[in-house]
Amino acid sequence: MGQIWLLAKITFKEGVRNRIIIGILFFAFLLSLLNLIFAQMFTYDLSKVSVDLGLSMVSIAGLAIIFFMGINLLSRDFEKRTIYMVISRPIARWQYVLGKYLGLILMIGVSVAIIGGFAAGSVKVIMHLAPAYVPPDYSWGIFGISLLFSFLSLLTVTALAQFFTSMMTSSYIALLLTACAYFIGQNVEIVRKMLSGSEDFSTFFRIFLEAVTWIFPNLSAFDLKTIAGYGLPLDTVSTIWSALYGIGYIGLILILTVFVFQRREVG
Amino acid sequence: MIIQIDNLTKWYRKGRTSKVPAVDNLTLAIAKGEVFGFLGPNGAGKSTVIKILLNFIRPSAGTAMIKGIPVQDPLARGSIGYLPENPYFYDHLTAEEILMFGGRTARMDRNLIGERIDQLLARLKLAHVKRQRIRTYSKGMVQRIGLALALIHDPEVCILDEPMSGLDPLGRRLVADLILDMRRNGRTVFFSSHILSDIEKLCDRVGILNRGRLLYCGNTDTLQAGAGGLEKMFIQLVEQDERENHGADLAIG
Repeated sequence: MGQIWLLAKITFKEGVRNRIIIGILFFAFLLSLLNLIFAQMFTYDLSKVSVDLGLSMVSIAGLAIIFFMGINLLSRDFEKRTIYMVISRPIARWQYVLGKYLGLILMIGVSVAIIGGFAAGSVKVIMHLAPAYVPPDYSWGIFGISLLFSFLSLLTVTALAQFFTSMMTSSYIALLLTACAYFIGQNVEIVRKMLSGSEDFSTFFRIFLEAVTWIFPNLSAFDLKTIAGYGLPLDTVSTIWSALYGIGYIGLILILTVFVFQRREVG
Repeated sequence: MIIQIDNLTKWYRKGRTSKVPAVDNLTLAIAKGEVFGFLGPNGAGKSTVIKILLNFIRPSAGTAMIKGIPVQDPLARGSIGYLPENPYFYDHLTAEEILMFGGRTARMDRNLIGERIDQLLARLKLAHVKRQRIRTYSKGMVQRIGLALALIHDPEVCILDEPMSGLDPLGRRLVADLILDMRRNGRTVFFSSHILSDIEKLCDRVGILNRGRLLYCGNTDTLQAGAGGLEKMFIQLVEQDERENHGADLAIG
């Protein structure tokens, strides 16, 4: 664990000292101010709109951090050979993968906490200005859980980004593949529903689509925005299953990344 | 032997079907306390051998060991200090943080690392930029930080890939003095260089590589005495190998 933590620390420091992350956080702050303005435009479901916008802001800013910072931090190691300063030390390849991932999730975690704070602040102000629109069973606890699940979704995308970066020589291709995986992951649930509700698909196409829904992560399983916004009761069992699914999926992707990276030549 | 390389071969693909050897059946043994110079023209395979020793790339055949440990084992790298040809670091970290990372990964005591950092940075004339981010450094300063990182844990084996490249005469003098110090302290140094005068001055033994094959391995004294200088001998050996084994007629010198 020592070597992993040491690598995580320098990855985190390198990430948070970059001006891009400050830019993204500033952008998120502006979005939270915009949330105050946008929400005023709606004459109904005000709190739902503000919670939705606030949590979406976390996802968008988190994705921007992964795409503009995370992939850059990972691919620079190969492109500029900064990886030499790490793997020339007594650090195993699997420790490199886990250390880098831990550093990235620390960076994303801190960002999500800050942006989540902005989002919660803007929601709180709107609820204070329009108390009549606050659902009777609204819970800040569920807002917090929803934030955690947004984080879990970002962790899944980060694991995929690391997998693609360790496989590809070009950071652009890794970025493109991660973006594709994200968009597919967002729509996996819809495809599953389509498959179960229709008999029109050929057997081959059905098997292909089913395989796709199993390969890519079902990111909509981590979306609790509606429950948080409407103050609906949270199904504890399915929430725990969703969390376990996310953690399990990330674990599998990290194992695959270690497998790929152990075979990669860093020449 | 502290470094033992046996029948090491590395092939690279050239097109879909053909392969070219970057290192061809290389056998080499380096004793503890030796300063060994690895010489060869561009593309001779020097860096490939170094990358195999650091386990950055895998050999196609043969074995390499450091202190009897196969290079694939991360433990083998515990006793190595490595300086790449063009070192790059995380831009937003300071020299102190990078060296602290190097010392900690080698499981050094935190207080001891602090002392060692101050000592090395003073020696390499970088004490004034200890807490400055690497992105503000010049190329020569980055090269010297690379050297400090290689030496932070006082390694038994130092592998330096073109340690003089990018350095001004003062920097080269500093590196040369450090290599001589390491020899005095019984450390083993394995370094590649194009600068023959440095090899002549610093090395106990030298290995000359061309197209992945070892053409000569022996004492620098014998080489210089026998052929009137290392440079002349080096060129003769490479030209002869090109003519006899590769059908090329190099017009060197």
